[in-house]
Amino acid sequence: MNPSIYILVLITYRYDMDQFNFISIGFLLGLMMDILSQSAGSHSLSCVTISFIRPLITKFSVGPNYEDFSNPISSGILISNRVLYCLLIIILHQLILNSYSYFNWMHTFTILKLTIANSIFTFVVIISFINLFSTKE
Amino acid sequence: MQWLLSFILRYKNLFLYFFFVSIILSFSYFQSEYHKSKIYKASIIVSGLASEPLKNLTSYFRLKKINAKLLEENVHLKSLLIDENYKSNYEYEKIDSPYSLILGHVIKNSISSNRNIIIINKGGSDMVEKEMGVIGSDGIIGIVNQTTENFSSVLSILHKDIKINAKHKKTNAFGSLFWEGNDPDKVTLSDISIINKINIGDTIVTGGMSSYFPEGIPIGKIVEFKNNGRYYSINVKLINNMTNLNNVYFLKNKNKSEIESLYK
Repeated sequence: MNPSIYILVLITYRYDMDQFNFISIGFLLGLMMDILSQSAGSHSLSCVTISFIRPLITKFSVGPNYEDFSNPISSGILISNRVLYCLLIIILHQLILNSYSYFNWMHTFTILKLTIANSIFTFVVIISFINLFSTKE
Repeated sequence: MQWLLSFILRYKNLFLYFFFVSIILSFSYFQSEYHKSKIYKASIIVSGLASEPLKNLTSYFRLKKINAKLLEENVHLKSLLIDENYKSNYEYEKIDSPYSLILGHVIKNSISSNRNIIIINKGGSDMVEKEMGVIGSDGIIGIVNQTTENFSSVLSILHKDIKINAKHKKTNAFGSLFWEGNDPDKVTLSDISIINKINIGDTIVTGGMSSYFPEGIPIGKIVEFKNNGRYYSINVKLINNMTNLNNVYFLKNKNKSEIESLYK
């Protein structure tokens, strides 16, 4: 199991910032991870895809008025919505990451197994980080 | 240009995403042999899927050109066939066929009256002259009656006043072919002597005794015959479907005027 703590950047990136820059940041972040872990672009692809579809994920988990909040982990958002938002980003990120790493239908079961295990682990670590470094409003 | 710019600006995130994805794919291609083979395989499938409809589309637009080329080729092959047929009839004399072909396209065709006329899109400017024979892809069609600069009218074989010299292919017995004005697919062959043995299904071809048609062009097959004392009355089913004519060929006989001068 390998938690992807770096996606904390994608989760906590503010809603009121430009998505064009967000996609670029996602790409650079993923590329950095790929170079460091010597992987073949799976981190970059998952990060870029998550940064591209994050408005959809946010709309689905927080609601259509998500732009009222500038901070994705703002206490104004219901805790269930925040959890759903984090889980969706983590699961989708892990799914794309593992799918691209294996790139074979034969390994579907392994991909799903790794996605679930890594997602749970990453979720626990990320929630701990958020709680650890959050400031009381 | 403004429209294009606004379109790009509107979907700039999508363009940026696909730009990064393409960079990632090329990065994977050079970074990992496994991904290289997978991407290569996927690209073959994608290009295969895309090339088939693309090929169909381009071939559809090329059909007109191909059709014209095929018609040209048909004229050439048909003239070779007529030439060959002519040479086989004059085997010992080594005479070249005096017939050449001009391609035409039917623009009006009637079959409902007793005297049917076909209008063709070739006329005097295309070297089409009066009294030239006209054949279709399978057999004879008629004889040119009048020509203008760009069009010509043809007396169809389904014309009561037209008589064509024809012969029974097996016995070489000559007769006269005409239309009685009933079925558009049946004509009558008369004046074939009863001393010749004929059967249902035998082929009737042009006789070559006129300057309109060379010898041996198929006309039809015998479907019925009656013995009228000295001659047969033969019912012939036409090979050419006269109701759906499209491309036809004028037969230009270079010896025609010379032959006709002998009648005067």
